[in-house]
Amino acid sequence: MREYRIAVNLESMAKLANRALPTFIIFFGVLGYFVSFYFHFLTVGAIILTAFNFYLLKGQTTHALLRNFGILAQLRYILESIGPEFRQYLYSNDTEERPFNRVERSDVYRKAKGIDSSAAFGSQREYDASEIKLRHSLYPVDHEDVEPFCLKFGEERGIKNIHTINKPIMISAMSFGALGKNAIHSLARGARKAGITMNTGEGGIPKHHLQEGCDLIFQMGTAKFGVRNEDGSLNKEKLEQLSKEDKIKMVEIKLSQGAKPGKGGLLPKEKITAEIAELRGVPMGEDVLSPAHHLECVDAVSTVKFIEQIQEISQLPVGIKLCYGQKEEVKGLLKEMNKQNRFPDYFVIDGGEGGTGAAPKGFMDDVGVPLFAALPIMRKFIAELEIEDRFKLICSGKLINPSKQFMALSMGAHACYSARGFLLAIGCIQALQCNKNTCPVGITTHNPHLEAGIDIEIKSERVYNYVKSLEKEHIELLAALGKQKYSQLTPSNLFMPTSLLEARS
Amino acid sequence: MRKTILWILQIVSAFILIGPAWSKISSAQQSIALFEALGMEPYGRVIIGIIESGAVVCLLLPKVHSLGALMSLSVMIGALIAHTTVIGMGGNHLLVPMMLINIVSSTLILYLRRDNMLVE
Repeated sequence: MREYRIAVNLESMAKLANRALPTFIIFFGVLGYFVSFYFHFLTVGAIILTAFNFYLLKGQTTHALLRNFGILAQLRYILESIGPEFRQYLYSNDTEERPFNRVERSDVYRKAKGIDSSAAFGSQREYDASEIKLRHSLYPVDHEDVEPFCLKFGEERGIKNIHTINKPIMISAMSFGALGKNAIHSLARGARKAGITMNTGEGGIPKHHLQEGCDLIFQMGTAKFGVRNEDGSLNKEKLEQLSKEDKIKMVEIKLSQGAKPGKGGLLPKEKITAEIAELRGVPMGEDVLSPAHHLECVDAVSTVKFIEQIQEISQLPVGIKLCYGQKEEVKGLLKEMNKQNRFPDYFVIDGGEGGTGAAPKGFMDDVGVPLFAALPIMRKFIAELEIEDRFKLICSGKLINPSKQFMALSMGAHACYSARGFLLAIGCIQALQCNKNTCPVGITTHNPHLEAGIDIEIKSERVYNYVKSLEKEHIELLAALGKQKYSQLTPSNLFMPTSLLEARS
Repeated sequence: MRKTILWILQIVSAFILIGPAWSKISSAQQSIALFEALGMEPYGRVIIGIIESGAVVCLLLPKVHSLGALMSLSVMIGALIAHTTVIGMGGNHLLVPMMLINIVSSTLILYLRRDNMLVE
């Protein structure tokens, strides 16, 4: 039986277009000759399209699709090139995008703008037993009874330069280089207004960070930018000098990071300006690859020795940052610390799900243990060795909202780092171009035309609002969980799905 | 090297177009006569004059070289049609070589810039 249906056969259409184009030349050519010369505008168009089509079909050899179907196949490339924008604005649903979906991003935007961020008619998330949840108390405490947060780094060693933080949130490591200067100024000024500490990232001398006067953690990456000798080893004088800066409160040794654990930092050449080259002490015009590890750190013994060396030179609290990988190594490092009775002042556990850095896709996607799987294991090791009171534990990895931060705090962390949360607060639209110097909102770029979009004063206010809003929700959560202070948070506050419980073993 | 070749081609294409563009926009007698013969006076002359001027500007500006080359190529193919079908080649013995040079150089610009077409 015949079916009278209309269907589009793209393959036939493409072939028809290939045959039709030369015919148009003759058709419009005749009209142009006999009717009006104006028709030759179309003749010229047909000639150029035919020539282009001929090149696609017979000339080029790189694209099979174009070779087989010609000019109409270009539609695929045109649509593919604008696909990300279409998906983000029109087709992706509110909980679909990665790394942060629209619901999560909007929540940060609203907090940063000081707008009410309550929601209605139920959660947008899959509310089954596959996610970690917070367990509330039957007997919540009053907000007024919640004690203010206070954490002192360096108190375990009894050093002179203890650093105290009054909020459990800090801005995670993002260097000048990874971010443009206006973004750095916005974050640093916001950090000063909100009274939080900011990590400088491994970008060498933190010139722009220092100009805003917020409390800083100087991060020393594997290349030791800013405090290195030419051969990549530590320049003690430079570190000593930098540690004397009033606003540098702590030093952090980066052993690995969540975006690319086991691999050194990468700054693409497109993002290296003369200023960055000078602050880091690197050449322009080539990608800057940091080594995968500190020259001084080859095993647990040498790593502990290196930490001790940095503590002595800087006279500041010193932390180490790592992404949890091999169980024996991390446990071995803790054991060695215990044996030598020398600990860093804090540990940062970065989840494998990080971060803002430019990294090979395989590393970003598949290397490193996720935070909520790594933290309980760390906690277990620490308890086994009975070293809970020897250092602080900070964690990072997609902790952009208060409930996620509370989950981490309940799993044993003393404070949280967030990088992308603060980027969203200053207007990141998740264009996923951090590695290309083309960030459309001027955050991860050094292109002056794009950076011009950032008004430092307004954006710093957003950082302030974001922190204030997080703080407010923290108090509400703490009260709802029936706790008066952060130190009372324990894993028993959490409902853990079976899959994560298995990962712990 | 590639950049130098491209710049030479762009300057050659633009240089060939400057004269015709100016005579059309400034309503030179010779130009008016040509377009009367084509039955396109005055609108066709003005439109093509504008396209030619646009091509000159685009060929010399950064980022839009290939757009300029496309405009230049289109105008030249049109001119070739006009001279072969209506006006004839008489009078100016430089005409045909100039048109061919422009067609070749504009095509080469488009070919060499094929990875980043129209607006870079």
